[in-house]
Amino acid sequence: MTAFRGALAIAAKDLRVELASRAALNSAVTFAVLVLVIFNFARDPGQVSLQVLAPSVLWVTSAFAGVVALNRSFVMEQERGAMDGLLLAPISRSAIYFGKYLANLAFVLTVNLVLLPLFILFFNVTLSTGLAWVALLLVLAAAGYVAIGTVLAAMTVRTRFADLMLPVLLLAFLVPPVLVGVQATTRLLGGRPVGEIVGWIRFLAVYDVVFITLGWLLFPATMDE
Amino acid sequence: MTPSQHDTLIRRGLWLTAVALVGLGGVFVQALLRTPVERWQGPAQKILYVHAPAATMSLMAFALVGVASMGYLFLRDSRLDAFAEASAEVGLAFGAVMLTTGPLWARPVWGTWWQWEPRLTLTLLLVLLFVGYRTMRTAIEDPEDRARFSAVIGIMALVLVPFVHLSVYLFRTIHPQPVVFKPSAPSLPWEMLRTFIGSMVAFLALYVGFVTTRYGLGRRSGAAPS
Amino acid sequence: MPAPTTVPPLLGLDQVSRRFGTRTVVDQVSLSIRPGELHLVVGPNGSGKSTIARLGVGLLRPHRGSARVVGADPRSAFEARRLIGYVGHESQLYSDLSAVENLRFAARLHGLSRVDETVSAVLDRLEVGPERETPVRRLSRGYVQRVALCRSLIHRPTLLVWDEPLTGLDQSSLERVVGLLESVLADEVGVMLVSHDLGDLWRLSGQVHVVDRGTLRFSTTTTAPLAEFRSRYAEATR
Repeated sequence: MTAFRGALAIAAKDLRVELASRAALNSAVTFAVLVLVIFNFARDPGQVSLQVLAPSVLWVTSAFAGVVALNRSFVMEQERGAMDGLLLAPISRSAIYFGKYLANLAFVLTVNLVLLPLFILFFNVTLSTGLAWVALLLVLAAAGYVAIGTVLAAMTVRTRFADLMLPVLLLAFLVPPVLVGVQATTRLLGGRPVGEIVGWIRFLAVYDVVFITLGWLLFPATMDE
Repeated sequence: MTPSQHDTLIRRGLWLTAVALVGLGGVFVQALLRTPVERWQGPAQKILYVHAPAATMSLMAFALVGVASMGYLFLRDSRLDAFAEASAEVGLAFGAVMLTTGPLWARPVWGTWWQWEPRLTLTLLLVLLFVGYRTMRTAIEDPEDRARFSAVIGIMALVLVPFVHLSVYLFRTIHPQPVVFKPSAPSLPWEMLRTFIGSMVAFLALYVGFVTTRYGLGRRSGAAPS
Repeated sequence: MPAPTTVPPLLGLDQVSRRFGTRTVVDQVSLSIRPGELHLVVGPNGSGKSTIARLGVGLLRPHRGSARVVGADPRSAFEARRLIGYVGHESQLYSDLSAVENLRFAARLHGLSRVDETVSAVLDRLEVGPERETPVRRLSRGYVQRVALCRSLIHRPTLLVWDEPLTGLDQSSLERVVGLLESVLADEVGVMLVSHDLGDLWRLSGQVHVVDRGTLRFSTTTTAPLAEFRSRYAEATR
């Protein structure tokens, strides 16, 4: 119970800091919009149709905007030694992990919440129930890579060139969810039945469970000075 | 360990490397002169005598980084970290061999340099991830922080492998299936198999030689000045 | 009633050593702080005194020896961490939040009830006025230091470990902090202060430990004349 309360206190604090500064959300949302726009110009309309390109653009944008949001996560703990305060509180290292994880997930999902309508607008996506499933896929994918990103960000913030290290390390972990997401989205937006993507949803669920567990097990090692 | 023991270790590693390189030279001669030309792939097939063992050793090296990393987090023994560091670097070296010989073979046989199929994608991602692992190591001053952080990444990489493999497998693969390591008897002519086994042994010796040398160097630079 | 010697001290350092890389920063330091005792740890820059403080509260893992808070390892025992009020070189505050928001968060982390009352009481204690609603990034150094001290007091710790607590404080805040130390010591709180200079703290009665190059050079008490201590200190840390 104390662990749960501690995790919630940390997550609420992160959101409050973000509301006060808006540093992560502003940069991540701006980034996402820019990527959407650039992809539109980087396409030869005679050669590549919007429909073919759309799923890839959605997933690449979502994943990279997530990285931008994650990069901020531990900077606030590093700035004035606030991590010491968390480590000295009567809560476990795992509670710290889940607090940071929840806040990061909330950021990434908020970015996606802004991204999805813009995506529908810019890419002329027909509104359908398939879109709801796409949203579910985005949530499932984020739940997994944010779990990894939280552990990685806790470490990279304490290295030189921290802002570069996180994307370099996280990239490989983004590949499975992005690949699966693009495949499933292509089918969903093409009007295929949901039954065809059940396997992929299951894949993402397993990815989430495995990496959340791994993050929970490994995070304490990143805090053990 | 004393500094002189490190030097002994480095010397042994270098000797083993030299022996392995001579053996590898023998394998090259064997492959070029004494194996038949494969009917469909032509002479390009001979690249595989280098490519397949390099790929195997690279993946083994990365897997051993993961195993050593788990060991490090439990035992906090700096020797395990030094081994992980050595194995990661040697894995990258073999990975570079794999990624250069692969396209050289693929161009004439597949008609394309690169193909986004499971094995290629997985190995490329692993190589990239371990480039990140190495970069991370150079970006941390404190040896214990470095060891812990690296161990975390090493373990995560190990867990990632099945996911990448499975997700990319959703596409159909055109990569040749393993012909030596498979449940039934190897389906290779004896001359080819002999060369393959010789090459595998030479590469394994090269791995051990490289890792021993690199481990010794790492221990020597990390040891307390007495 | 057990004999007093069997009661574990509030803070017990037993032969602790710590390396960073190949450099030994703290070498076999032992120290024990009991309720109501003040211990001043002094030494030149880079002598390892801050590392001793971090080892004591469990923020660093000792390579040899042990650090115990009432007999428990603060790195694993929640209850031991609950007893510690620590201020390091950095304020542990979030720049974008105000003093009140920062302290509310600290109070919630410690699972305190009546958060708002507790926060305003502790801010009153160090006279943080209307600035308490201003984001910390806009506060001056002395204010930040006072808020940082408040943060360490919020859960009524029984062991205070403060590293350079007087940094940036003006004369009146300084008096206030020294007065606060006197009152917590009277309440049987154990205090460890790390400082490179002692002028303002000498009037408190307590023990003084001089650290240089990672080891305890000598210990004395503040009953000795300050000038005499200074010459001994200069001798020991040469």
